[in-house]
Amino acid sequence: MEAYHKLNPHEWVNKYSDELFGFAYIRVGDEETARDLIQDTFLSALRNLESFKGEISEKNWLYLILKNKIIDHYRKNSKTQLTRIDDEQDNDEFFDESGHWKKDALPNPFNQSFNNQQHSFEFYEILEKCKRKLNEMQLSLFSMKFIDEIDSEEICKELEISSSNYWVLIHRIKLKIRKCIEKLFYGK
Amino acid sequence: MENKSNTNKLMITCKEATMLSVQKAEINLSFSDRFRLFVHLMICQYCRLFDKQTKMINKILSKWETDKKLSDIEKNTLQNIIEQEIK
Repeated sequence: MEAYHKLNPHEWVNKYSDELFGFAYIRVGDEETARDLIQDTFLSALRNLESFKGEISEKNWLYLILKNKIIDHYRKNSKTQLTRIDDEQDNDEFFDESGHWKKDALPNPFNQSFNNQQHSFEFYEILEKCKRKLNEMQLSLFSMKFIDEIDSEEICKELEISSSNYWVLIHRIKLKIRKCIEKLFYGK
Repeated sequence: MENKSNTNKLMITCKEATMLSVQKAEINLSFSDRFRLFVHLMICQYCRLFDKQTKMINKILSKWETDKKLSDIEKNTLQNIIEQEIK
């Protein structure tokens, strides 16, 4: 018997859809895109049942397909955005011409509720809001770097960016995310 | 991955210091960059705070979780799409 006969597509939605959806949602940052990716994953899987050789579980096989879809999504998102890297350098919201912090960009300490909340779902909802401040290119890079923890060189290859562009982007992302978290966890 | 700092100056700006602190999380900085960053962080409380906070943020991000789920309607739709495809 071929390995793919062990697959049971009728059960996929019931068994895996929530988990796959959460996985995609964290990475792409919006529900509609995440839903599309899950649908594409199931359809691709159905059209390529023969590629299932049984070395990995049904679940991991679906994850593998989803991961490839997500990488495609990152790549697509980053294509149109490259020109904006320099743009943000010119209109710097964090540093003045001499490279010092602008007054309203100066870092402040986070308050106590940051420590109490940082591993709750509510906290990740807040982070979700902060992610929306990133442009699409930054968002792709953000997910690859901090959620998938893909190696920097691999990221540059996938997104076709130079290492100096990479650093500029990562620098901006961290400045923005830190600032956004501070706004939400500042004061008493 | 490489970083390019083509100056020999000891004092760096906050913009450069935060960049080095971001790079330090991922690559081995050269001795001189490490030293420059060290000196800057000694005298600049803001960049020191940035350095500390971004380290905390890194840790949190790698444990990202969500309790987002699909609604029953969405699941039914997906189920129908699958059943149609199988037919």
